[in-house]
Formats: sequence, structure tokens, C-alpha cells
Amino acid sequence: MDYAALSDQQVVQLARSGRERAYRELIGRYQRPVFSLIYRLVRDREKAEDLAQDTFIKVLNAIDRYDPKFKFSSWIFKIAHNTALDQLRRRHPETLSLDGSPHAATSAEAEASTITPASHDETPEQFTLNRELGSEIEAAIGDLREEYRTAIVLCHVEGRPYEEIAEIMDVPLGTVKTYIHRGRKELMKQLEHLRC
Amino acid sequence: MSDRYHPTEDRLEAFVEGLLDAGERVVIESHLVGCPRCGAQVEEWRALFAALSGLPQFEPAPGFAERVMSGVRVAPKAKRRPSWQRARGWAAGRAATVGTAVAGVLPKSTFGWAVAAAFLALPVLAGAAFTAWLLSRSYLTPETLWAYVSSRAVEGVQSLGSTALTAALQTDVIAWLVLRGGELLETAGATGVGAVLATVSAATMLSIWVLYRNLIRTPTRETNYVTFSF
Repeated sequence: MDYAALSDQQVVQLARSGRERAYRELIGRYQRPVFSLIYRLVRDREKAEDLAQDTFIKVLNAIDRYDPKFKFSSWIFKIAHNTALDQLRRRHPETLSLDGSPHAATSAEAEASTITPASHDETPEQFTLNRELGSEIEAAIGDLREEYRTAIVLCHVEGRPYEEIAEIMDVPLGTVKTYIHRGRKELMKQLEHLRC
Repeated sequence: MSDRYHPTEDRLEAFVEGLLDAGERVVIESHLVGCPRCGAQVEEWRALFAALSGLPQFEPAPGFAERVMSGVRVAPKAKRRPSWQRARGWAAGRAATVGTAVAGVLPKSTFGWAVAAAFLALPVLAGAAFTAWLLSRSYLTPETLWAYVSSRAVEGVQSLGSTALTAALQTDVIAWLVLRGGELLETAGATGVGAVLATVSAATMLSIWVLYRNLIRTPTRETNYVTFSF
């Protein structure tokens, strides 16, 4: 059977019937997108490997509970996102809770609700030391708040439509549009010096 | 160009992203021809989009799939069912298909059922009406009518029997069928024949009742849904 020609739903069906090759096909299809998303969120290759592995183990062990009404990609990205968020919360509990309300309607509100944390266990300089994430644009993405970063990566790197990003992040469509717009604006600001 | 007509930044972003409809696109494209300021903004958005779309996907370290699979419990393979179970499943599937087809041609409303019942009952009613008319004639008594009908019936049976016998003698299949029919009649006996007659009578009575309820008696309820079901 040519697994590559099958849709995600068909491969999931085969996995449910106990075909190990179907499990491997799903890993092959999603290992790069899932790892890339997590890596860009946690910005630590070793940690990202562990989290991506955890994501796949959770997904594949719960394959019987997958609801085929939804896209498989939405499901796996949602679990990857939540897994990465759990890690970020453990690592930077103060950053995520104090980094401004993600639901702020205006930039002034966002600014007003932002409190700079006293310390991080990784600095932007350390980020840029990383060879893979060392480009200006990767560094700028790394400086975005988590919500903007996730939305930007899903939209521009993974090419996911806004509706699917809303499902993955579990926020309304309008909020996704706001995240992406603000994220892009932040990036333009941060990359301004490159245009001079 | 007047500042009042500059598209908003959101519109320019949507323009670069390709989210605008054709009309809005034309308006902005024509504006950009004469507005270097908006043109520069559009170029900035395009540069950002190009940079973002050029971002690579990263590959996890070799052996990733093996590490994942070491933590995965592969679902047990579904056992192949015995052939008799598969045959039963196939028969159930076909029966369901036939049932669906039959359901498709059955009447969907009270009126539909009434018309169908009328088709079943009308020949019986017509026969009854004709018999009643015959009996109402002064020159006909039940005795003479019975004598006429029984003589015609005997002639008919004799004629049919003769034809069937001829055919049976000429054709082995018909001979076999006649033989089997005779055996069946012997086996069923009077009880079997009575059961068949009772079933036919019950079906006829039911048809007449449905016809009466729906076409003759005026409904008292102002409803459009089916008032009874089989």
C-alpha cells in the first residue's frame, strides 16, 4: 500500500486498525512541522526534541480518541502548542503572566499591562548564539511574545489558515488576526535597521 | 493625491497578503501608482512576508521516529472475522439495502397510504357491490346465482385442470411443479389453506378500514402529519 498517497484521515484509520507503518507515516509527515513550531517557541533544541517526542507519544497513544471531524494537523499542532506552553510556563512563570494581556484591545493597553521580568534563564544574546535561530529574523521572532510568535510561525512558516490557527490556539478568529497583525508590526519595528 | 484617501495600514497589509476582493485591489493598485508613501509601506510589508516565507523547517535529530515509537502502544490489529460472520454481515448489509429501497417506495404520508389501500380494497369493494346488485334483481335468487357461479367455477376448474394437465404432460418442469404443489397442499392440509385465507381476509379488512378512515370519514383534527402508522 502506498501510504504517501493516502490522506491524513486514511492513515489515522489504518493506525487505529493496528498498522505500525501508519504510525510511522504520521511521524514522517509531521515531525518537521511539529518540531519547528516547538523549537521556535522554546528556543532550545534539546528541550524541543523532548517536547516534540512527548507530543507524538501523546497523539499516537490517543489515536482512538481523535475526532475525524477536525483536521489531524489542527489536533497535533494544538497538542504541540499546549506541550510547549506548559514547558514555557514552568520555565518562565512570571514572564507569561506579566507580559501584558494578550486580549488588550490597543497597544496602549498592552503596554500598560506589561511588566518586564527581573530575569530570564536565557538572554537574547544566548538565543543568537544558536546557529539555526541566529538570523536577524529568527532573533526578532524569538523576541515576540509567545502568542504572536505561535501565530506568526503557524501562518508564515506552516502556511496554516487563520481559522485553523484559531482552533490550534483555542482563541477566536479575530484574536488570531490581531496577534498576527501585531506580531508583524513588532517584526517590522525590530527589523527596521536592516532597511537603512 | 489628498491625504484623506490613503488606505489604512491594515488595508495595505491585507492587500499584500492577498485578502482583498478584486474591487478593493483595483482601488489600492490605482492609488499606489501615484502615492510613493503608500508604495513604500507596501514594499515594507512585501519584504517582511518574503523574509517570513523563507524561514526553514527544522529537522529533529536522527532516530526521532524510533524514539517516539518506543513510547507508543500500537493498537492491536483487528482480528479477521470467521467466514460465516463475514457472510452474515454481508447478508445483513444487503438486507439493509433492500429495506432502504422498499422504504423509498412506500407512501410517506397518510394520503399516500390511503391511496395505496384504495388500490388494494377497490377490487374487493367492486366485487361486493356487483354481487349486491345482482342479488337485488328480482329474477335472481341466491340459489340460482350460486348454481350459476358454481357451474362456471366447475367449468373453469375443469378447463384449467385440463390445460394444466396437458402442459404438465408436455413439460417436465410444469409436471414437477404440479406434483410439488399437490404435495404441498397435502402437507398444509385444511389448516394451511385456512391460514392463507385468514391472512388475505385480514389484509383486505385492514385496507378497507384505512380507506374508510382517510378518504370517507371527515378528519376532525387539523394536522398534516401521519395519524397512524403500520
